[in-house]
Amino acid sequence: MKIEYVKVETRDQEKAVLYVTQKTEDILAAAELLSGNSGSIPVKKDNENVMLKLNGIYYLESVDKKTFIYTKDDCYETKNRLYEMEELLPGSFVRCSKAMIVNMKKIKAVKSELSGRMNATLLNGEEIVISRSYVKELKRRLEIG
Amino acid sequence: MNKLKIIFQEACIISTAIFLANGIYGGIAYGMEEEFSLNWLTILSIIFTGFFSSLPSLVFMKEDGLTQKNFKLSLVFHFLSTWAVVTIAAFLFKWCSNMLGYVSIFVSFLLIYIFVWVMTSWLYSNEEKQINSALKDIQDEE
Repeated sequence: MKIEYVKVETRDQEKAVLYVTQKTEDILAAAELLSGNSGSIPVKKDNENVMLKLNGIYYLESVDKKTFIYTKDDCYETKNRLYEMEELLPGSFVRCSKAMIVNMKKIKAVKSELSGRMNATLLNGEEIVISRSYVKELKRRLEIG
Repeated sequence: MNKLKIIFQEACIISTAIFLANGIYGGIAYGMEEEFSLNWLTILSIIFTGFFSSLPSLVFMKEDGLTQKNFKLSLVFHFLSTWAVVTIAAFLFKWCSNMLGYVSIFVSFLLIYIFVWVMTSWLYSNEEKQINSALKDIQDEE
């Protein structure tokens, strides 16, 4: 496969487009690696330190100055503040309210309200709110804004 | 800054809608062979009304949005305060001289108000479809 590099100004602009005949396991693994979702972060679960894979994270929430990370069925805690996590996480994570960051890959569907907010149903059935002020950023990340 | 931008945009939309309503009214008046004119004071009053009736929209601008209940309360407040601005402008700038005139202004206001919310709902619904379609492309398999 030919590899072509194009220099961009900011990290935000970094993007990989793969021209493939089919999505093989190797291609999917490469895509996962490029997206930055294959990494892990140290978190705490029942006072024990564990490594949590980024691609398993559904959303992160800040409650009383503590940051909680939610996966399909579990909840973990990290010592990092939400804004610090925002810097660390790959591009599929987007701020959806003042106290929450969501993994766009885990959103099943959104439903808008007349108030401007959006209700997002996640792949595990949970519902979260996307504030109007963050919808613009979500659209920009999805390249539709 | 973002709030100022939204207020300015909204003031422009409301002023344009009032001009449109005046245009339609003018068309009807022409059809009925009645006298209709738009002087500079009326034009200024429309811009004035557009600006002041956009200010109540600040109640909707909260960073984390409004719950359904708060939204309904804000909507009632918004409707009443916007109508209060239009009423004050109607009396200040003498848009009407009798009760019938006041009722026709209220009807126009109501139609514009409903039109704006219907358009907003339509825009949100389109946005929802766009987002859902884009999300499908990147969605993980569970």
